[in-house]
Amino acid sequence: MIVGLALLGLLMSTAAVASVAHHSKAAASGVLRIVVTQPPDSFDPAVLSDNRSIELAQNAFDGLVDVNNQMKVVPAVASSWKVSGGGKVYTFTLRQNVRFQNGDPVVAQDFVDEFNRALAPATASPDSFFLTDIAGADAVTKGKAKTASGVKAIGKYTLRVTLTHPAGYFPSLVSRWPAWVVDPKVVAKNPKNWAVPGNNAGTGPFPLSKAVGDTQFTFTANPNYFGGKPKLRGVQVTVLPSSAAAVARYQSGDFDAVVNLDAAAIQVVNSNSTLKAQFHSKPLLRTVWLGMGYDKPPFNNLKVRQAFNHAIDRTALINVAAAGQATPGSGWLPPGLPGSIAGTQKPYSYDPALAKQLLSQAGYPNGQGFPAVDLYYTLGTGEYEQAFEFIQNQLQQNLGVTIGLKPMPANGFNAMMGNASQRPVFYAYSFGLDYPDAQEQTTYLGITGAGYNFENYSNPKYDALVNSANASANQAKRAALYAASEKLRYNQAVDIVLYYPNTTWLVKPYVHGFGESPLYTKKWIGVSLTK
Amino acid sequence: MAAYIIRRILALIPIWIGVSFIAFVLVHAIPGGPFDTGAIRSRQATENLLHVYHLDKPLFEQYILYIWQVLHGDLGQSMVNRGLSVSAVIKGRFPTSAELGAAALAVSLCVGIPAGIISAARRNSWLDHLVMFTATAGYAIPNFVFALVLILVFGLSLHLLPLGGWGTLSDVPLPAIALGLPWAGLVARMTRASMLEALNRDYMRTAYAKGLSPFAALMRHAFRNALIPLTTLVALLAAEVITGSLIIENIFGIPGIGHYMVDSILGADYTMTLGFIMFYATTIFIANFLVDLSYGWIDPRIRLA
Repeated sequence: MIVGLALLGLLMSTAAVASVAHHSKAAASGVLRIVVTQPPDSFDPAVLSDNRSIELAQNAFDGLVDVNNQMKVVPAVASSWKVSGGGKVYTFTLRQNVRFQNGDPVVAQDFVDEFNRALAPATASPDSFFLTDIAGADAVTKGKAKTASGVKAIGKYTLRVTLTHPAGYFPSLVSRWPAWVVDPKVVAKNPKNWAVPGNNAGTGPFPLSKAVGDTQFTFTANPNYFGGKPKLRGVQVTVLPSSAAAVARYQSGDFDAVVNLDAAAIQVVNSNSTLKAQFHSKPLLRTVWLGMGYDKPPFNNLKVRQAFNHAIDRTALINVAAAGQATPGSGWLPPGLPGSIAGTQKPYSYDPALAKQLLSQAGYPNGQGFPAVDLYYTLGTGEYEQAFEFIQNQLQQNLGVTIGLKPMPANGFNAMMGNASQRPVFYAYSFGLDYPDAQEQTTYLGITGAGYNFENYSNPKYDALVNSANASANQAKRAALYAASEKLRYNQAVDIVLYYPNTTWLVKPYVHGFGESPLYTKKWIGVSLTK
Repeated sequence: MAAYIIRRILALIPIWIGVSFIAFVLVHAIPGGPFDTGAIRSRQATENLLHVYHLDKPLFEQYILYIWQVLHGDLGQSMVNRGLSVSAVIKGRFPTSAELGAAALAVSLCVGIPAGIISAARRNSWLDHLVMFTATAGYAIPNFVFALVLILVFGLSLHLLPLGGWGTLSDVPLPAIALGLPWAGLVARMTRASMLEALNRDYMRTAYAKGLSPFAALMRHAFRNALIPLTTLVALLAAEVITGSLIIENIFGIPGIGHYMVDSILGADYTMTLGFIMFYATTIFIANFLVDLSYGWIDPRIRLA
């Protein structure tokens, strides 16, 4: 398969390809034609949780607030909000002119209904944890109550949310999908399967109007969108699993944009000057790292962790793994995220001599006596597939340490990681933020006892810094506290942070305003086509 | 004959039970379940998900629940694409795979059978060697290589045919040829071998002796007798047809069943995988059944009872 794609790339790069100008056709129809590699899982905001679904559904639905491309929380259906009660009470004031696509007006009670629906056990929302800081939410997810006591409509257009504890990241959470408002009347008619084309149950600018199987989706502009009439008449999304085939059809004029190119497709782009000029990439809120069992030999020794950090050439690795589309990693939180030190802290230098010396000080001169260690990883994410042999070679060459490679299917890998007794001491991992707040990564993957803290890192100082950052409502202070926690993590060489991958896309010159935000594809509301 | 058909259809029941049980045990034996996606989730949310799909129950109970559901004509909901029912996916995607497969089968038979007959009729001539060399090479070259060459020539350079997609007649030739050509090689070799066997029989000498033209003797006597092994091969190919082609579907962006099934297995989508397996078992059974019936027509000496 990979050989096939590489070959296609090779063939295409040598062929002189005349790009057919579909330019005027696309512009005249006012329909943007884009291609994605996998079908979305669902169009129900309370059920979907994969990136493909989120990137599409975000154009059909809105929440109380939104996160803009600079990762700031901005008003959406709510025009403003106040924090009171020592950071525990959020009062949102809704705009009075917002309607669902079917014409029904949006009122505060709709949000109450939607929050409770997302929490209900029958809905089985994978991401209900976004709402579990709300008082009484726990009882709803456990099936012990129908409604959460902490969310109330105290007026037609006023929503009050009471939390169990102060949480400065809460506005960021309610910008996400489980909190997007859905017309309760539409849901009531067919609770199990309401999220079908033409339901018009959201408030967004581009409701899903048609689907051909699960490979073609048509979104039609909502002229009554409260944020202003969209410039596009619609968007057509085609699912095409092969990124290289998508690029070929983009060249022949079938599509106006292609997102998330794989390494093979990027090589095709690099060998063609027209494509290269239409290629864009931007850092994503994601970190790729090697995790080490912090409390288990041989990695319970700081010098070993430092040695490994100095033994890997991150820049060379990025060329192998991501066709150059990534930034060498230093801090564990990705750059651009408030609290990240990636912008100021240099990565561990690539210094084989120093690495060797550190390993020798740890008691393993030239790697002698170093226990047999296997590196576990999954190829499910695809993005760093070719990287592992490179890492194996570097550790062999620079440290004299022989590492076994253990690739695994994604679900098997995740199941193994979730089981403390099976968890390996050396593994590759990647995490992308769901919402732009350091609280997510630090709280669910970082602090002592966190469910996804697979390193088993435990440091009371780190925990204290994260906990006080989580509780504060002062965003500047929060960022400083997370940054301090990051510094600690970096100095203790808890992780081998490899790189921060970029998101990539191709777009024709007649398309304006299309692109990617650090979290997901930009919404289509600002996109236009030149005549 | 009617009794034979009824007996064969009744034989489906133990096959279904056997296949579903083995498949059920196997898909659950794969490490990692459908919700081990690596995404952050609360423990309660995981419990709720498992409960909704009965995955919190003992395996045997799950199997009984599944069979009960299937007996009611419901193959269940996908555990990954949570808005989709399994039967809707099969209904939506199978026709595409079947169309592509039928077109590819047609390509392989239309190219392979004449090539095999010519080869056998001109045994050990330069033409025979050329055809057999091409057939062997064709069978040895993977179909994605054909696909890429076809895309390059007919799509990118000549702009004659679309590079991918599915829905219009012009979308069919490139993937069908790419998928069918390697099989054509196999069909040609098989046809030649069976034809040679038939050509050496006594009845051929009789046919020539009674004054039949070489062509009539070849087609009426040799070819018809060579059809039996060929039909068995076609049945095997037909099974290949319906399983879809992961790679060809991938390259041409064809919304068939092949790609989806592999994704379902990798994503531990239990209901979807089981649904596909049950569907395939049934289709392969039907294909074999039809072949068995056709033997009687090809060779009247074969009686089905």
